[in-house]
Amino acid sequence: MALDPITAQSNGIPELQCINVACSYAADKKCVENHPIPGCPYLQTPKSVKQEEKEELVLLSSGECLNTDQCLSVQRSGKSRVLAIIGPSDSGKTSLIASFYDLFQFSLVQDFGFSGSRTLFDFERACHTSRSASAHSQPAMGHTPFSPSGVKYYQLGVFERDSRQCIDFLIADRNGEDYSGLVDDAGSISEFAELQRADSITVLVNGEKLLNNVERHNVVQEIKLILQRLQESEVISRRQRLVVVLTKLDALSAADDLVSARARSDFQGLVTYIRSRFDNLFCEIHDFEVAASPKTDILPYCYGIASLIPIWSKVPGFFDSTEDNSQSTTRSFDKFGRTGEA
Amino acid sequence: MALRSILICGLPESGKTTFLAALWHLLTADSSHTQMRLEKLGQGDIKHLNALAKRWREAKEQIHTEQSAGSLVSMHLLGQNNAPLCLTFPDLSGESFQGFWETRDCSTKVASIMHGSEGAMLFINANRVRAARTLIGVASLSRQAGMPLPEGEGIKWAPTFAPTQVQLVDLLQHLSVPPLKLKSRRLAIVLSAWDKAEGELLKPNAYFSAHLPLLQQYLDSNIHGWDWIVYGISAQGGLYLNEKHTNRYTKDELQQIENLRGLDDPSTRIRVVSEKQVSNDLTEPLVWLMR
Repeated sequence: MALDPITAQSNGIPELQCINVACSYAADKKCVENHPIPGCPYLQTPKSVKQEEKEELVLLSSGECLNTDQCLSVQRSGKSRVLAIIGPSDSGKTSLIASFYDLFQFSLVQDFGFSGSRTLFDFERACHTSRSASAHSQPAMGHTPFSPSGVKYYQLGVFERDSRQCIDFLIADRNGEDYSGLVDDAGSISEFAELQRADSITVLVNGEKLLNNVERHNVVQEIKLILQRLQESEVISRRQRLVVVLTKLDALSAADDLVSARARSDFQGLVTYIRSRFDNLFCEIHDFEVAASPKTDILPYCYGIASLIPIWSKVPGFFDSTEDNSQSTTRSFDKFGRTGEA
Repeated sequence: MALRSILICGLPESGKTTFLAALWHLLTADSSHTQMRLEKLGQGDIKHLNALAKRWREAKEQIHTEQSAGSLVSMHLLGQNNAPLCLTFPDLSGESFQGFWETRDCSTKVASIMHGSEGAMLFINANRVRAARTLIGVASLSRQAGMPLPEGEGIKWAPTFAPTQVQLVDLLQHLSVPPLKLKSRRLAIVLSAWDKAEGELLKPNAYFSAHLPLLQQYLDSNIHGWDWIVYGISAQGGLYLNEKHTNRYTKDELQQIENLRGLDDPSTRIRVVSEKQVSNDLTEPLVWLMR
């Protein structure tokens, strides 16, 4: 109902203002559109006064990452796959998770489409360093913020176009320091609930560090020790899948040919070792190369991420290897003119 | 008489109020064939609708809807079988819906409007879709154009940076579950300012798919059971005057505004484009929602 300015003022209510910028009501108390006063629909209580009137608010879902209980609730409600993404600091966990979500911003991904997410807010936050809105000159490194409970879960709903089935991916994320700490101290492993719960354990190997003569051996050794710790602690069961991912492939593509070839050889050597040493620990072992958020356009954004989805979406132990379109090291380098370097 | 309520939602400046203004003019002018017609003005307060329609006829941009204003407007209509129907629309500001995304809350008043709504019209300004632009995409374009790469200190993330389609998926997710669950999950998507989008020579569905793929995938997944349709609507028919910035218009633009005003029947400014037909019948999406 339109307010009567005279009654309003006599009741101690502040003078009304017209929200039509072309109206000079404040000066001459006349409506520019000839609406009667009272009666003009644009005559309102000033904003500053309105803000003081506190409205009761309904709180909506936060859109932030889920805790373990919320994650269990999603698991109970339908088909889901838990992904544990593990790797030391700077190995590219946040970039990998963000690019998995961001792929769907542009189109369907192979036969998969986006069906919703309860953690859109945190996905968007994670994507920020790769977006032009961040005003960086090149993608900056994302870092998993400290979480008091250690682990948090992103949720990404995906549907398979042919089967029309929806799958909830629950992607566990925690600080890289936690995984490095695991190598030093066996006592903490019981706190890594996501490792027992995971359908796929995805281990990230930092490709950029493999290029560095000082760091390369430590990178390989740290991964070996993490897997050894998992084996000894018996948190892993044979129903789980291991995916070994070489990250930051763009750094390899941009590096000197010989150094790049050596880094690839280091990665392949690690994969071969894992396959022989931990073959009995997992029901499947796969390896991939990705550049989730390349720093230059030498490789496309989210390079290699789409190939992970068919693997991650299947129940471990039931992946048909004839469907495997994973990119072997040689193939991915062929595309960028690096054949024969393997 | 049946009482029905439709939610009109969308981000700021997505064309919600302009639609109401043009619809009210179309119905009261009674100069074009429409699937729904005005039965009577009724006893309720139609001051707000009349004021909107007046500005629309004058080819002036609508005055921004105040966040807490939220006028409920009612129209007494005759449906396709001449059945009388009182249709209620809340004229809520885009900020009310943007708040779902940015502050993760809404007022109890807005929440109660949601509960009563049987279907929704989701307005998306086809000319203002904010896409997810990647840094390397921008760098690549800069290089192709021979321009220096943008240098920056970096800006902290804010929810407002999120692409349009992400904010709209979030909005529809909220409308699918308590506490904002709608009564019915019928959704008419309106690509407003369609006259600005027509240069791409795409039909509304193809335009929607090309510019808002994440939102389309979400709806296609049928996870929340939305029954949806896309329209391209130009409720203004062209450029309107913003009185705040009159000095920013070129001579040519001012002439365009005069040309619109010069049309003998203002209803002919309106264009409603569906996959099957082009008309000026703004009641078409309402009929689909009421089906």
